[in-house]
Amino acid sequence: MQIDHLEITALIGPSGCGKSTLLKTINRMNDLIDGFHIKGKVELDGKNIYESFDVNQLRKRVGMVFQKPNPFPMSIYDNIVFGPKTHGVKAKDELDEIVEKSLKRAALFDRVKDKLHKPALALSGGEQQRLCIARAIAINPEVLLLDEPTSALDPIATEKIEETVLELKKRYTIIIVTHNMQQAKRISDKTAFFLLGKLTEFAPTEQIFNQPVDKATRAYIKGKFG
Amino acid sequence: MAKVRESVMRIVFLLTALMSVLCVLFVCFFLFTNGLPAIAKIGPLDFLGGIKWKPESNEFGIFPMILGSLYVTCGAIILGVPIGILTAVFIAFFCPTRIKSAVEFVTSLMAGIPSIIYGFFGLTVLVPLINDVFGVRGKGILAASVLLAIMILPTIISISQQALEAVQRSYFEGAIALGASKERSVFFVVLPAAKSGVLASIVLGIGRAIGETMAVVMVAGNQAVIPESVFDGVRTMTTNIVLEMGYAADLHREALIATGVVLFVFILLINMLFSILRSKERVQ
Amino acid sequence: MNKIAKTVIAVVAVFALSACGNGSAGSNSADGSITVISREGGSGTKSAFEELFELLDADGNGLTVASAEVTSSTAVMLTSVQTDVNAIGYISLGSMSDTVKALAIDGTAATRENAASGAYKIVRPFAVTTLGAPEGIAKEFVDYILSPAGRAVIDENGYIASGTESDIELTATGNLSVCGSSSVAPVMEKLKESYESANKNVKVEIQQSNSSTGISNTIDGTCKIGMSSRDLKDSEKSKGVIETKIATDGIAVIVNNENAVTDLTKEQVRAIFAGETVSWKDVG
Repeated sequence: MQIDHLEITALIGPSGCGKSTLLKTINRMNDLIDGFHIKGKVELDGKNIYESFDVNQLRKRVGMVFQKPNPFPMSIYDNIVFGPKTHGVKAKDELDEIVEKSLKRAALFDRVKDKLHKPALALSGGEQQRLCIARAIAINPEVLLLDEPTSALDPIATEKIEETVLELKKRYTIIIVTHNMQQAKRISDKTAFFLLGKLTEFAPTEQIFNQPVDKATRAYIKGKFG
Repeated sequence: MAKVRESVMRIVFLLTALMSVLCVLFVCFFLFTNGLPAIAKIGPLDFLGGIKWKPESNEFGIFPMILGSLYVTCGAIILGVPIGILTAVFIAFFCPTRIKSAVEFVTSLMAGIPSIIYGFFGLTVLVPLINDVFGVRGKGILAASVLLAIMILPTIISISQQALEAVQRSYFEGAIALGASKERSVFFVVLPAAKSGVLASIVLGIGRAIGETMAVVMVAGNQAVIPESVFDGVRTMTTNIVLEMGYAADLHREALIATGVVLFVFILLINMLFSILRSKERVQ
Repeated sequence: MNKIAKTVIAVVAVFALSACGNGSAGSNSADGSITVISREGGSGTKSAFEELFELLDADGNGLTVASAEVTSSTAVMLTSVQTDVNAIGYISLGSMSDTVKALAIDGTAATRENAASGAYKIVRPFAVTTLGAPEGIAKEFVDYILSPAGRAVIDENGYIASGTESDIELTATGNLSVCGSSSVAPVMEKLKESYESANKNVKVEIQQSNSSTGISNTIDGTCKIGMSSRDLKDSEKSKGVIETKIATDGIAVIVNNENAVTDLTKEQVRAIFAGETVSWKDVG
């Protein structure tokens, strides 16, 4: 499966068919699970991420936002600078700049610019998720993995996040797992349909939703199961 | 019928709760009614600030003992808290699953060993060791601090470990996903998030250390003088009571009870401090 | 995990190994500063020792140096001297064991024979104390101790029996509580065994603390019989306490087995315990 540069690729399919697991192989989060092993290759720019990469450097290039917003129990500022500090950025003005830039790109800066040193957990659900997005892009990744980022949010927050993701596409390659077919239709360029752990069909979104080739894809799109 | 039963049970629960509170109140009442008059008789300044403890000549200054308690407790905290927290971190995050249950078993075993056994261990192993390594008489603040540090380890380890494991895993995963190493994620994200529980374990450790008697009386030297170095012998408020209570009479006995009052006040202060710290954190 | 775990294991191993190597006295040679070890204030042995070595001031208060370590029983005293090459202390002669060395005083060895003949002058009485004259089962036990059967037990165990009564008939039944001196306790245990096998209807319970505590317990009724290793004070006599001497016991001045010193004069011992002589170099 080939993910193209600066595109949004959606992974859809019924629950439990491996979409999130696949996503987590791309930034090697599955390494945290005892007994995990992989067959086949995952390559970033032609290099196998399970062989030629230091895992922490990989995660600097491939960022992740989780399903349930998980800002650290610290201030908004400290949340965002955690990543850059980990990767060696020390100068205060550099960090301040990164914080402003990331929050602006996540469409959160105006909301929080006067309370950067207040606790992140005081924000609303949607704001927390945008903070997590800002935190992920603060380390300047090339790829962003979004694991059902709006499933825990209300419709208005969802809409705002989708707007933000569309903006982010200009700078980052995005892979998004979603349960929400309409969301996939709304924002993605390509869509991959998974069924029972197998990639069933992978094509431009337009095609998947209007002229699906596979019978199962057609049935899922029509809402016959899932 | 059910309603009656519920009311009865509610009364039963209320009574049992009251009993615990009553016990504490009785202890307080006994301490203060016997101790405060003694402090008045001796004079608060002479009692708390007096540096000579000679009951036979009617001198009842417990300042050396207050210092003794403070020194050995501080020593125990300085030695025990870092080791305890690091061990808890190890058990929670870095321990191979095969040996994890063995390590937890040993930790809880340590908690069950009677104080007198620790005292014996201190007397026969620790004291000669200090004598060997430093060339000084082994009994003193150092021996007592090391022994107390070992004794409060199980408390600090198990409560800190629980606090660490209670931190939601999503924080840890969030840090890992940003490219932080496991060590960095544990020390800079999970441990701060467990702050409140870790602090609770330290307070409990302080409480145990300041109240410990039987182990300390065997390794501290028990001289009722103000110590000048970490190798000097020292007497704590608790060991003062245990050494003399059996035969003390009249004012001497009341002075010992008054020492208990002072101890009680210390514990009260420590717990109050802890409450203040917790409420500050909650406000944040 | 690997770095942290390995460091922890390495540190623990170092401590375990160094602790293992030092179970006994240690390698300092005995010309260092003297570690004076004394007993707690209520100890009859301490009172007798201070009296016999002229370590009392005009008011009868002890002059043992304030920097002397305080051990709370015969057993802890033995272990403390055994594990410190520079230590000096004192215990009941009957409790002597070859883990420590008894010094000859003024040229006379500390043995039971010398104590019995009067050549070894450092002796003090063992007594049982009661509130008023003994009655009932207490009286029978005391008479048993003074009878030939009791005297045999006392003599066999390294003390010098005092009684002169003849054999008595044992008819008492019930329980008896005995408490006090840790110096008297060992022989009291033997007397209890002998008495209980001669009279199957009695049960004797012994608790050890120290002479003063035992006497105070008989006064307030906690115990029927007190064990004492010193003379009664006037204040105790005025409260109605009666003592019955059951044996004479020597006090052995003990040092570590690796200490080269084998005998001292009374004056030398006094000077050491008064804090005037501080180094083994200044002694014989």
